[in-house]
Amino acid sequence: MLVVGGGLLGLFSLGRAAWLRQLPGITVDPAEWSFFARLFDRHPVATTVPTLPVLAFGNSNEVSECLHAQRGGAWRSRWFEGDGKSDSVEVRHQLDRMGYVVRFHKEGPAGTIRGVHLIPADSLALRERWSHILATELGLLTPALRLVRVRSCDVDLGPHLELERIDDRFLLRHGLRGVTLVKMGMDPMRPDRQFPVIDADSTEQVKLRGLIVRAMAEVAAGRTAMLTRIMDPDAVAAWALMAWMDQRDLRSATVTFAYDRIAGHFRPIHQVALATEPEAEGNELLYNMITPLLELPEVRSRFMELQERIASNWSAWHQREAATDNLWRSLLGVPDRALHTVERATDPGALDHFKWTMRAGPGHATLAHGIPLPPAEVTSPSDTVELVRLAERYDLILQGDSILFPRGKYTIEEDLEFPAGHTVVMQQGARLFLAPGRSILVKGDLHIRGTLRNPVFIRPLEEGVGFGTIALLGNGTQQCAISGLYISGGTGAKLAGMHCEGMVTILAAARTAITSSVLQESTAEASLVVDGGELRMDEVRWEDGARHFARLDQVRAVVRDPVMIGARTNATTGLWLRSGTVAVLGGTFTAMRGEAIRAEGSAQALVRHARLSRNATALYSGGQAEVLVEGCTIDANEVAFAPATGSPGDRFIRYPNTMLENGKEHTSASGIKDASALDAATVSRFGVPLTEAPPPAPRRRGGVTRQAD
Amino acid sequence: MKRGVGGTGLLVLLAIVLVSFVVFAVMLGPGRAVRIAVASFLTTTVDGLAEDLPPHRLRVVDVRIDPEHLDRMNSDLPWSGGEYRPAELVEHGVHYPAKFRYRGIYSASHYLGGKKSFRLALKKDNPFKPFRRLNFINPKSFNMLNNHMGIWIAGRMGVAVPWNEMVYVRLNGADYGVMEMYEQPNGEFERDRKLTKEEVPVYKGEYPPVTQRAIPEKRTLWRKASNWEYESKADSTISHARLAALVEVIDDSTLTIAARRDTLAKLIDMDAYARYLAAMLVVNTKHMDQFHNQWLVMSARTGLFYPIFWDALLMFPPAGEPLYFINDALAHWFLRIPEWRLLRDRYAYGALQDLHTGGAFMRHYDQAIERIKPSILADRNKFGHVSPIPSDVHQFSVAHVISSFAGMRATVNAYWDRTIARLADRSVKVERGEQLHLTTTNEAPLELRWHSFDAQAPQVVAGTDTLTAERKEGWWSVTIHRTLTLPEGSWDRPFANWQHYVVEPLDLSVSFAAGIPNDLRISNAITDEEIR
Repeated sequence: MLVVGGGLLGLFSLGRAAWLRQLPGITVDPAEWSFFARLFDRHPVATTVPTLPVLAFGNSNEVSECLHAQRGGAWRSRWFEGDGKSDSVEVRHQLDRMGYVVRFHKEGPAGTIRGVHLIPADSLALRERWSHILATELGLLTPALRLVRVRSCDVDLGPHLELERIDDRFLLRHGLRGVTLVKMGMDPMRPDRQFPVIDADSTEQVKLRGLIVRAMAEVAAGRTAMLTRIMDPDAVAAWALMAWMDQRDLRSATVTFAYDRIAGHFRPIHQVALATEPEAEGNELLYNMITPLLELPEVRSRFMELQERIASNWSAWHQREAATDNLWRSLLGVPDRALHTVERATDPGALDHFKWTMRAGPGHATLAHGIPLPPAEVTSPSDTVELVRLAERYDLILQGDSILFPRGKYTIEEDLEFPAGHTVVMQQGARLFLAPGRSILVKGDLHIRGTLRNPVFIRPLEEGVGFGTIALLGNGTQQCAISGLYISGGTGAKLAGMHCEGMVTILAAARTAITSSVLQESTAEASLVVDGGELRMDEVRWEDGARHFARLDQVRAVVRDPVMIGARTNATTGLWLRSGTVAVLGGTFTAMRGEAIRAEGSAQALVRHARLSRNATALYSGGQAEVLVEGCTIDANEVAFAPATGSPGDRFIRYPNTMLENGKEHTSASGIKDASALDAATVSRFGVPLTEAPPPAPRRRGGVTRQAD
Repeated sequence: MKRGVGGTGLLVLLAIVLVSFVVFAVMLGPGRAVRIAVASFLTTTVDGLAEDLPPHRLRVVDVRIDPEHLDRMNSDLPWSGGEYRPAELVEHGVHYPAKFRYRGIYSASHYLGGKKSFRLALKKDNPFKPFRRLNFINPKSFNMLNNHMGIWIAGRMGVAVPWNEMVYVRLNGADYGVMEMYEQPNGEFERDRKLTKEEVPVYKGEYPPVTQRAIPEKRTLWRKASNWEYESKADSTISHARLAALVEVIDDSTLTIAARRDTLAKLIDMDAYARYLAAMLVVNTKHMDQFHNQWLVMSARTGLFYPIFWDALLMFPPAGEPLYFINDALAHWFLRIPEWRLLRDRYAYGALQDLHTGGAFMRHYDQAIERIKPSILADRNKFGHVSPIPSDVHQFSVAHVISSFAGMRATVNAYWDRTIARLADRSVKVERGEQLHLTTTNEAPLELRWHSFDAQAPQVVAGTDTLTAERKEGWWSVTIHRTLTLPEGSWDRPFANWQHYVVEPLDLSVSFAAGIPNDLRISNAITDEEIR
C-alpha cells in the first residue's frame, strides 16, 4: 500500500500532466484522471502570501459621503490611489449587482485599462477566475480579471474582483481596430433587450440594427445561412461551452459582441457571470445570434473539439494555476468549490441544453416595422458584381483579387468602396479627380505606385471645393504602400461608421509605408492620419494650409526626413503624436503657427538631427508623453520647448542640440531633463540603431541621377 | 347537567358572530355579506397555515419612505394621489433616490385596502435602467396574473406593450405583497427599446387629469385631438398635425371606405392596429375603450401612430362575446375595411394556434404560477374586490388565489375553443351550376382560388360586385368578405360606446367569365383551410 501510494504520489507530483496522461498502454477516463490528480498531485506551490494591490478611493468634491456610503447610481468624481496612480476618477455603484464601476481618465497609455468593475470577492471568486482562465484558453476575448483590495476613506472594504470594462480601450488592448461593440439580451420578457445596443453613431446603428434584425427574421423563418455568414462560428462554439461551464442562465445573460466592420463578423466576448439578475420568467429565449448556430454540424463539432481540448489540458492548466489558486484561497479564506469540473466540461449532452424555444421580443413586429433591412444575401458575389460595375464604369482593370487604376484620368462622382480581400493598386500616371465630398474607401490592401517623375495625383474635381478622403479601413492585417503621391484638397469624411479625419486616412493597417509623396492644402483635421500598425515614412513633404499635417495614433513609426512647411496663415501643427512610439530622424519643420512637433497622451518620441525653424512652438509635450531630442537644430522659434505643466514626470529629455535665436528656450523648466548622450538601449526602444549607416551612393546612369521610383 | 364556563363563552362568541353577520347581512345584503365574511374567514384561517415559506422567485423591490409622508398621503386618498414625495429604492444595499406617489382614482382597488398602487419616479442611473417611471399596481384579480398574462399575450402577438413584471414589494422594511410592476410610457418609449436616441411623440388617452377634489367628467378621446395628453419632450409640430388629421378622418362619416382606408393608412400603422385589435379579441377584453387605457406612439421609423396595449385584463369580456367588438371610434372604421378586418382575424387565429392549440399559454401560465407561488404564500396583504360592489376592497386569501387560477384556466380554454371554432368554421354550402352559389351562417370570409392561363387578372362577379382577382403563389385569388352590420337598434356612430358588429349570413352567387374553373378551391380566408 505504502509503496503504491508513494509511487502514485511521486508519479503525479514529479511528472507533467501532459505526458502523464498518455502513459503507454493505459487509457484513463478524464473524470478518473481528475480524481487521481486531486488526490496525489503534490506539486510545490507558493507558500508566501503576497499582499493584494490596494485601490483606495478618497473623498469627492460632489458629495460628502465616502464611496461605501455613496447614494444612488450617479457617477461621482473621487480621488483615487492605486497601481502607482494618483488621480481623480469617476465611480458609481453597479446597477445590477453589488460593487462599483470605475472610469479612469481617457488619456491613459494605450495598453492600460480605461475602466473596471469592482465586485466584492466571495466564495465564487475562484469560479470567476477559472471562468476567465478557461475562456482565455479557448481563444475567447475576455476582460482582464484580478483580485484587489478596496479601501474607501480608510475603511477596508475587503477583497474585490477587479474586472476590466468592455470598451474601446479593451478592444485596443486586444489589437482590435475597426470594431464596434454590440450588446444584446436574450430574455423575451424584457422589451428593452430585444434590439441591440450599438456603441456607434446613428448611421452605423441603423445599419447594424437592420443587419441583426434581418438575420433574426431569417432565424425565425428557420434559416440560419445569413447568421452563419455574419458570425464567427469558432467563437460561438467557445462562448457556448463557457456558458455551459459557467452554468449561465441564458435568459438573463446579456452578450457583448465585437463586430469587425471590415470582415463583417460578430464575435461574442466572454464575461464572467457576475450579475445577480432575478430569475427570468418562462423557458423561452429571444431569437439570438448564438443558440441557432449550435444546431449546425460545424459548430457542434467545434464545440466538441473544445471539450476535448479542455479534457486533455485540464490537469496541466490546474497544475500551472495551482499556486495562484492557493493564494486566492488563502486571501479569500474560502473553501475549494470546484464549480468548473472536467466532468461538466466534457459532458456529451452539453449541447442539448441549448435547445431552447425561441421567440421575438414583446411587440417586436410593431417596433421593427420601418427598420431598414439589408437583403438576406450579403455575400461576396454582390461584392464582385459591384467591382465589375466599377471596373466597367471607370475603365479599371480587374486582375484576380486586385483592382488596378492604370495611367489615365479618372473623374469620380460617387463614393467608391473596395471590399476586404481585394487589393487596390493605383499605378504611376493615374490622375484622380474627386467630386465634392466624395471619397475612396479601401478595406483591403492599398498600393499607390507613383514616382516623383510620374506621380499619382489626387485632386478635387471642382476648384476650391474639397473631396472627402482617401481611406484604408483595416482590421490589423492590411498592407498599405504609398509612393509618389501628390494629393491636395481633402476635407475628411465619415465612412462605414468611422470618422476618417485625414485627407489620407489609414486606420488599422498592419503595415504602412509612405515614401516620396507630397501632401498639400487640406481642410481635414489632418492631411495624413495613421492609426494603428507599423509605419515607415521617408521623404514625405507637407506644405500649404492645414490644421495638422500628420496625426499618428497607436503606431510604431520611423519617420525619416520629413519636410513640413507651414503656410503661416493659420495655426498649423506639424507632426501630432497622440500615442505610440515614433522616431523622427532628420527632416525640417518650418514656419508653423502651432507646434512643429506635438506629443501627448502616451506618446513616446525620439527626435534626432531634425531642424525646427521659425515655428511658434518647436516642441510640445503633454499628457504622459515623453520626447527625447538629440542633435537637432532648433532656431528662430518663438518657443523651443513647451512642456505641459500640472502633472509629474519628464516631458522632455534633452540631449545636446543646437539652439539658436529662439524667443524662449522653454515655457517651464519643470518637466525638462537634460542628459549627456543617447545610448543604444534608449534608441533601440524606437526600433532604430544608435548610428545609422550612410545611405548608399546614388547610382548614375547616363550622367543623370535617377529619382526614386 | 351543568354547562362549563368555557362552553358558555363559546356560545356567547358564536351568538356575537351570528348577530354581527345578521346585522351585516341586513346592512349589505346577504350575498355581499357572505363574500366579505368568507374572505375574512379564509384570510385569517387558511393563510396562517403557511409555514417555512420558500424564498421568493420574484424580484423583491424594497421601497423606503418617511412614514409621515405616508400618513399624510393615506389620510387624503384618493385626492393625495397626484403628489410626489421623496422616497428611496434600496437594491443591493444601495439607496437610490426616488419620488413616490399613490396612483389610481377610478378603481377603488388602487387606493382602498392595505395594498395601495403607487408609482416611483427614479433617476437615470437606477437598478431598473432604462426605465425611470414605474407603476406598482395592486393586481386587479385574485389570481394576480390576469393583467400580466394579458400583456404577455399581446406582446407575443407583436403589439407594443409596456415592460410588465410581477414583483414582491417591501415598504419601509415590512412586507407589502405581490404587485405588478408596470412601465409608465412616455417619450422615451422607443429610446428605452434601443430604437432611437431621441424621444418620440407619445400621447396618452386617459380619463381627464384630476385637478380638483372631484372626479372629472369622462371625455371621448377621438372627439378632439386635445383629449389626448402629450407625454413627450419631442417636438410635437408634426405629430399634433397628424393626430388632428386622424381625429378628422374618424369624425367624418361621409368618406367612402376606400378613401377612409387610404387616409388612415397614411396616419396609422395599419399592421400594428390589426395586431392590437386581434390581441383584444384573443385577450377578450373591453378595457381599452372610448375614454381610457389608450396610448399612441408616433414611430420614429415610419411616422405612423401605433398603439400600446395597456391594462389588458385577460377575460374582461364585452357582453355577448362578439367577434367584432368596437372598443373605440377608430375600431369602428377599422373593422369596416374588409381587408384590414381579415388581417386582424388572421393574426388572432395565428395567435390562438400558438397560444391554445400549441399550448404556449398554459405552459407559460403554469410557469408564472410556479414563480409567483412563494410570494403569494408570503403575501398577507392581499387586497381586492371581494364582491361586485366597487368599494368592497377587502383582504382575500390564498384559497381565492388558487380557485381563481383554476377559474382562469377554465375560462380561457372555453373562450378560445369557441373563438377558434368561429374563426375556423368551414360550414359553407357550395352549389355549382352555371354559377357558384355559396350560403352560410358562419362568420368567416372565404377565398376562391383557381389556376388559369390568363395573363390579365380575371374578373369575377360576386353578387352585385365585380372583383378583380389577384395573383397569389401561382393561383388567381378573390376574397369574399362578409358583410357587417350593427345589431338592430344600435346607433351607427363611431363614438357610441361598447358596440359590436354582427356578420350577416352569406347567400351569394359568383360567376366567372369562362365558367366555374375546374380546379376552383374554396377555403376559409382566415385559416386557409379548404371547404369541402
